[in-house]
Amino acid sequence: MSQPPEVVFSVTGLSKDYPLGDLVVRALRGVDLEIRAGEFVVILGPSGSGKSTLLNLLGGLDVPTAGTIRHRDQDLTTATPRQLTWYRRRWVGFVFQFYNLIPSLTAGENVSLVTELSPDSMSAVEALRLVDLADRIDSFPSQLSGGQQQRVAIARAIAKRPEVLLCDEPTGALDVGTGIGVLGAIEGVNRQFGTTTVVITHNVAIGGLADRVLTMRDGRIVEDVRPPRRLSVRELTW
Amino acid sequence: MNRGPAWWHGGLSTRTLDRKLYREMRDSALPCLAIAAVIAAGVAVFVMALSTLAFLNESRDAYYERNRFADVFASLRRAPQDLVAEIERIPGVAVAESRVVGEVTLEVPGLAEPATGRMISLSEDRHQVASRPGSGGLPPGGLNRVHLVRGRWPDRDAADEVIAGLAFVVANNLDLGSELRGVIHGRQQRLRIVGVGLSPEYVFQIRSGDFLPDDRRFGVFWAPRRQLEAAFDLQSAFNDISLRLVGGTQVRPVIASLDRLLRPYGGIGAYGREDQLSARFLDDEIRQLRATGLIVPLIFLAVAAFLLHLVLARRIDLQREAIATLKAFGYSGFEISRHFLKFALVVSIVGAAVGGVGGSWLAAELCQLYSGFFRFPSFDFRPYPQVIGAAVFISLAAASAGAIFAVRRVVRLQPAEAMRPAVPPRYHRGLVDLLWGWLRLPTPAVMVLRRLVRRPLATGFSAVGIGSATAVLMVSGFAVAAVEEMIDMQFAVTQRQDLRITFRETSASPSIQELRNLEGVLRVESFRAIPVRLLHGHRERRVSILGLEEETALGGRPELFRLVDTDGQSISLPPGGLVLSDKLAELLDVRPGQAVWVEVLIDRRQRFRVPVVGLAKEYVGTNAYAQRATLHRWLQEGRRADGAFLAIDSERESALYDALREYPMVLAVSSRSAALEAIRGTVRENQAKMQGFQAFFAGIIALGVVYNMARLTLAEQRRELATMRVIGFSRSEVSAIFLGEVLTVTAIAIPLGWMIGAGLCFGMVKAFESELYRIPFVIGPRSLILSAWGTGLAAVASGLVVRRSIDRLDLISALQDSR
Repeated sequence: MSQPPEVVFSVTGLSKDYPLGDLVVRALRGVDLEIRAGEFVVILGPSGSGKSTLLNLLGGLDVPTAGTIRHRDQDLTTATPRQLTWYRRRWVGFVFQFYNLIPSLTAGENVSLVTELSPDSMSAVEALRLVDLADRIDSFPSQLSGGQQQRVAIARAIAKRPEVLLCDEPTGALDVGTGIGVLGAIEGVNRQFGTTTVVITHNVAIGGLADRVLTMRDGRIVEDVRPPRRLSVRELTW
Repeated sequence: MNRGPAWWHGGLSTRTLDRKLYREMRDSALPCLAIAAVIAAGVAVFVMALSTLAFLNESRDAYYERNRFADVFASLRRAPQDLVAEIERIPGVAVAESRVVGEVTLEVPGLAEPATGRMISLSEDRHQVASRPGSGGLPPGGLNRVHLVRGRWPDRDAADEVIAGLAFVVANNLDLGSELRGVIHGRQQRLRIVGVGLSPEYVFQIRSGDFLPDDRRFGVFWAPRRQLEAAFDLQSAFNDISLRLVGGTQVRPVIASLDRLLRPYGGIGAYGREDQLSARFLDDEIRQLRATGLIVPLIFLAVAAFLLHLVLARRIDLQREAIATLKAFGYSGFEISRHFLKFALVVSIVGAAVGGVGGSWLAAELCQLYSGFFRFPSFDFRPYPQVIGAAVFISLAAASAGAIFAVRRVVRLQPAEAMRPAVPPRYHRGLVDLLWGWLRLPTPAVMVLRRLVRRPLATGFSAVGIGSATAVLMVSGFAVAAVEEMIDMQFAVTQRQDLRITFRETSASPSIQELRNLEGVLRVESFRAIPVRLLHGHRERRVSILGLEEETALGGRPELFRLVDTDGQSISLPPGGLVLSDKLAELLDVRPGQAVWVEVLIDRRQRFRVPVVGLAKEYVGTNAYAQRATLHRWLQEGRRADGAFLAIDSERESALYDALREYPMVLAVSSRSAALEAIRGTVRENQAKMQGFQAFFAGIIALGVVYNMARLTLAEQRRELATMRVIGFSRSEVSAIFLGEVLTVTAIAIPLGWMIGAGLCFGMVKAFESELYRIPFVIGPRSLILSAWGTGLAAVASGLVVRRSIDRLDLISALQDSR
């Protein structure tokens, strides 16, 4: 029997409270979770269920109120802001719902922004080729469709060969056809490079692409399912 | 009572929007205050200059009227008292008053060199007034009445009692009862100060030819007529006359008639009030204040309008959804526009209020400063509500102008369009991209440059805004450099003598020899000074021709007085013609090679035509020069002199002064080092204050512009910078991008500011140019460096304050913002 993949994230008792005036919003309430190398994890749940909070904590964008998050040997809960910056620079690729491309930079330059930061990255052309946009390398964001912009964002996220790809509603602002194209790119990266991928979405159908589907409600993981078979993007419908 | 639904009378809408406005302004208090500060600075300068102007105007007019300042003045050698009645018969003359005026060499305690006093006879008729019937209803009393500050009037028959001018008393620490020893007309005389006074004739007390007063070495004294008649041998005669004209009388014909009457008595030409030295300095100052009062505030208010435009445009951009929602609810474009316009108006009202109060305070300070130069009987400044009102109105207008262009977008915004997320701003590759590619600039640098190039207008405006701070700083540096240059030209280049001696009467050459023999005198170069009227075409000017030695007794070049040409090269006087100062040539519209008519105003009153053979660069006065031999030939006279320039042994200076004081032919001695020291003292004292004000205002404008620009840059780039932080850029790397943009604009702004500053300085040169003095247009590396340094400092300081916001950037909320 083959050795199970290494644990990339180990989360225990994770809680996050947000003060909201005189109230306290409990976004996460004692989440325990392990994510292994190469896994494609989809987190489902309604708005306010805590999935974005969890993703932000995994990405080192925020610190928990209680509990711990470990990335391999590093405890992210006790890391300094400088260490978190280094962690994001070295290990994490982000994809956002609204793409967050720099409008003053071309597609290629948006990717270069990241590749200039890390020594072991692929070239901008290579990264764009992976998302089928090598021919738009000199286009500015304003000259690209929403789906193309999101694919550039994916290329930017993967160009530095991150260990983890975190995607926050990557198809949230896109129509079905375009959304499928974007998911194809994410799935391709996961398969081709073994990049541990976490996608949060409202869209239950996207769960079909995953190794694991976590469902969250009221700040807790209420379901952790491993579908018998991962569908290919072409098989997805919604 | 039922007043109907809130939306019907509009009360609710306004109140709710006002609450929104209040909260938003509270949350962005600092940038609002930064703009208000720029407006306040503009309003303050406006109020300061125009209040001071109004105050000076009022004080001057009231003083001239109350103390019956004359309209026409004339000096002459000697005329019988009976001539006054004849002068009074000149049509238009209301009152003619004769006087005895003469200069006296004074020994002042604590002052090594002799001082010069101008003795003026008091009108007999402070007690008894010669007013004739039909004199235009003027109240009885003499002309140019002295205002007694303290003490008493001299006894009519006292031989030594005088009233001393306040400036001289203050500068020399004298008081009532102080005694001075003087030489009047070759005779020793004691002057006992029994009163301290002021006169409308000496509001600005300066010796002709100087460009700043020297109150220690030049003073005015008033004494009973009988005392002076005796001292100057002018019993039943006079050597000076003042006229007051009937309202509406043309001055020129009166001057012509007076000149005709005085000619046989050695009149050297009458002149009107506008050519009276003190009045002219005062009028020039008022003219300059008017220029300052309008130009500088205009810059500040334009910058403030521009800032308000930027801030509002950004605010409207950020509130697109809110505006669309309000429109969807039924608010009209006008109501929402009014809401945003109120923002601009509130900011400008705060600025105008602070500026109004601050400007009045500054005006009081400036008047205080002026009271050291312009002496009025009372100098109690009060604020001018009409000036403040005008300033408030102008600032509101400027703010509205800035805001209206931004607010137009609100009216155009379609609700449905605004609900959709904004599309990314458009960028295109341009020629400049090739340059960056070639330079292999890092991507963040490309990001900064492309943002700036994409919006040339906004970048340009920001640069102009910051540049105006550089310009204001440069103007303050310019004033220092210009005065330095004037001092250098006057005291290092032209006047190279240690002492300038003025003789009581034109003397023949043997007197010069006597001077040469005095102990401590190293070199003597005598000069002849002739009052003349120069005429060219229909233009004429009353000036003095200074006849300078062409070669010294030993055959060398004269060294103690030098002229320089318009290129700053030392020139020697060519024979056979006149060298005019550049300003005089301009006033007469004459060029070298052309000829002018010379009318001598003394002695035989010759009239001859001579060529202009050169021009001399001069910053003070309007003068004409000729070789002394040439002048003698024109006047058909032998070698004579009216004074001499001396080089002396500084170790024997004090003994030499004692000797000169006893010398009957010496009327006045002016020491170059003393004059220089006096000027430096005055400049130091006042320039520090003025420069402090200017640096303060420049600081406000620089901080206001850079801080707001930095805030806007951050607001616009918040999401981009957050994205970069998320994908792994450190705080310092992201800050570098942000500060890079601010500093790049600053780097563009500084040379732009230098150009604006040079324009302003040139404007000042032109505005301040007068016959009395010209400010040289000198922009040294020092003022360039200082202005750049100041601007850079403000940019870095503002950048660092705003940078703190980057450190506190909430990455998650920045990313969730769909725009």
